Amino acid sequence: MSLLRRRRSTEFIPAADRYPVEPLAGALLEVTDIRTHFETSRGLVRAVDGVSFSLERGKTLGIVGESGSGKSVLSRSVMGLLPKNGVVRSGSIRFEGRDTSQLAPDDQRKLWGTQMSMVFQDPMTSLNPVMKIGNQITEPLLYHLDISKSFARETAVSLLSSVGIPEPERRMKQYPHEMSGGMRQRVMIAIAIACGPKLLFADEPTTALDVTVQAQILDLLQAQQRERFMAMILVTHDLGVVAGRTDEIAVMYAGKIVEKAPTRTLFSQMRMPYTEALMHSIPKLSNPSHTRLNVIPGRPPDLVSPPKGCNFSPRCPYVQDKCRKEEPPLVRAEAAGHEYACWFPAGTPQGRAALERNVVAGAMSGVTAETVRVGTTPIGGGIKSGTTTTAPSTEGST
Amino acid sequence: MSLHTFAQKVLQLVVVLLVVTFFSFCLIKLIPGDPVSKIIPFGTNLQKAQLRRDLGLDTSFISQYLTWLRDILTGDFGRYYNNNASVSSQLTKSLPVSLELMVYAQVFAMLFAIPLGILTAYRSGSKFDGATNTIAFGLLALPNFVLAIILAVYVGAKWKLLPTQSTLDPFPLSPIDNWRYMLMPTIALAVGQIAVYLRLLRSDMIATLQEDFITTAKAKGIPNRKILLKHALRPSSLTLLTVAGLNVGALIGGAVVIEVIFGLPGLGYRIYQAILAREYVALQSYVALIAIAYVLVNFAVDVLYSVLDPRIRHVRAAA
Ligand SMILES: Nc1ncnc2c1ncn2[C@@H]1O[C@H](COP(=O)(O)OP(=O)(O)OP(=O)(O)O)[C@@H](O)[C@H]1O
Ligand code: SF4
Ligand SMILES: [Mg+2]
Repeated sequence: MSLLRRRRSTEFIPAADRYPVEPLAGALLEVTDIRTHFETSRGLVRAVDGVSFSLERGKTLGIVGESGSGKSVLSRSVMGLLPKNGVVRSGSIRFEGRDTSQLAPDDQRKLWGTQMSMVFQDPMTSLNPVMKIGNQITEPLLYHLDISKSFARETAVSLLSSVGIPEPERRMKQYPHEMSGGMRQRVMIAIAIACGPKLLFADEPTTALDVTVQAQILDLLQAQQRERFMAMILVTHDLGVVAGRTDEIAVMYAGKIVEKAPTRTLFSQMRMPYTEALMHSIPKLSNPSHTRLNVIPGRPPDLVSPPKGCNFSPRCPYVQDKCRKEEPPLVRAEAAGHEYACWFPAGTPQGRAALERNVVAGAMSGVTAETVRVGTTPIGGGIKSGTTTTAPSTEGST
Repeated sequence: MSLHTFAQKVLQLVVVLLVVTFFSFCLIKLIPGDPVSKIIPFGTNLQKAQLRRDLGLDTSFISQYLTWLRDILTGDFGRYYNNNASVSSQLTKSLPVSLELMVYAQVFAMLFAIPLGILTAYRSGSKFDGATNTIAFGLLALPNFVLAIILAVYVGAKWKLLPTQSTLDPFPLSPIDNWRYMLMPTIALAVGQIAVYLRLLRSDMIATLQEDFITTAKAKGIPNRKILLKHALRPSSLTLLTVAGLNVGALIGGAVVIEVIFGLPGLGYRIYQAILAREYVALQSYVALIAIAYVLVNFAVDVLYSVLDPRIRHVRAAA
């Protein structure tokens, strides 16, 4: 049973070369051009609009974007958790080489818990309030694995202690409301990893938590992910969260991936102005934990009728006429595995020229002018401007 | 629920019981004029004096109440004036019939309402849901006495499938006979309840199915049947339980019309007779009894809440 896998060393190894090359050929997960549109009275909401990525076994992918950029819809689409009614889906999702996007509900369900599982955003509402913790953990064990009740209980107790819950025997008999948010999220993690899935989705696992426990939960997820050799998709709106914890990062904007790169490359050579703006909005530790990103001026586009051309153009400090007419395709950058979608990428001569033209033209509003100033600061360096963000830890902040 | 809060609940219960019995007692005081000459207008003076003493009308109001309460608590519900039969012996025969009818009607209604409520919530918006709701609304609009008359006329009188008038005393106790007499009253009472229960459960269930913890359960890979029964049903059943509890009280003595139509010798039927015969003392006891039953059942429902939802236990303990 996968639970009993050999413990791996948990001391820090740089993300990129954490694991030996897996002998199993092929990516664990290959997502190609998936689209998830919701039929609403206002029209079609293009929540996910042509996203592709792949994920190797045991690797971690960070998905970053503002609220409403489609991160949750993307992860639920990949897992197949969305309802069938009122949802238009297309594209292919290959899990271990098998297309899972067309599976019958019963076959789809067989994957949940055992092959892929999810840790949700709000541990206060994600656990059943009228069921004991112990039963919530043994439930998937008893259903999926052919084990006795007493063995399921023992397993649940050891799961609880492995997610750092003291006195697990006593906790088994408690109800969720008798635990703190951080403890509940640990329970959620225990439930998610119970049946040894190969892929773990963590959808903003710390957004609803107190700042002081956020790092602990992220560390726990990372430790479990390594120990059990799970692949993980870590969804967040905070670039700071994924900085030291992922192998690769995909930045989402308005239902599309706008930049994707190995973590180090992204932080050292970010090209997309949106990524750059996100970077400058990494929340300070002193901010209340529920603060949503509103540091980037302007609002995300309406997903029913997105703007012509580049989705980011109404908010972009680099914007040029071309951006408002033509949508930039996702193109390869110099570094391996780095892709971005932008006509005037940051950190390139075209980008610098575009930004200068905008500053000189002075046609921008006061708020945007500030962003322009931010844009000109050297990437990765200390950031000035309205927010005195501590220098983002680009690597090794584990 | 902690012992302390339970003790508090019991104390509240006692107070409420005192209040409801007091008001039941006051009923007899609502009879205008001299109650004695209303009760036995053609009695001799001797009889009237006897009755006055029986009713304790020669003592103070509060001591009258206390005496009456003590009598009720010791099982003495007074006597009929017409034939001097004791009300409690009448009760031991009629209460079981009414309780039986109440239990059958509730079970019958739940047997239909719970599965239908779960299914219509699960398939909300489907044709099945629409059809079920339309039928439920139709049944709700049909008063139970109308249904009872239809059943009595067709199934009972015209087609002679089931007996309608049970003048039998004692009530038939052989299971088959018992069922033959109970079936139509049960259906007449239950049909409207099915519609009520179904809609209550459906709407609570739909709300529960939107909860995050249902998505968690789904992501565990367990089948929908388990999600509905193990995760969604319990947190969705509180309103249903409340209303069902209120109905228990209402059905114990409130099935007057149904019992009269089918001639079932239950409490409702006896109340009807007592009203016609101006048996005020018996009536007073019946009303008190129903009020007590009402309060006790709803106390039980209250305790059941905290069994169903541990958060209520918690809140109570904290309060
Ligand atoms: N069932 C639905 N019907 C219609 N629109 C939906 C539905 N679910 C999500 N959306 C829309 O899809 C968009 C993306 O939502 P999503 O929840 O994926 O955002 P997110 O990136 O996870 O944001 P957050 O950080 O707030 O969790 C939003 O505009 C949302 O309103
Ligand atoms: S420069 Fe143009 S293409 Fe690039 S992000 Fe800004 S608006 Fe979009
Ligand atoms: Mg989300």
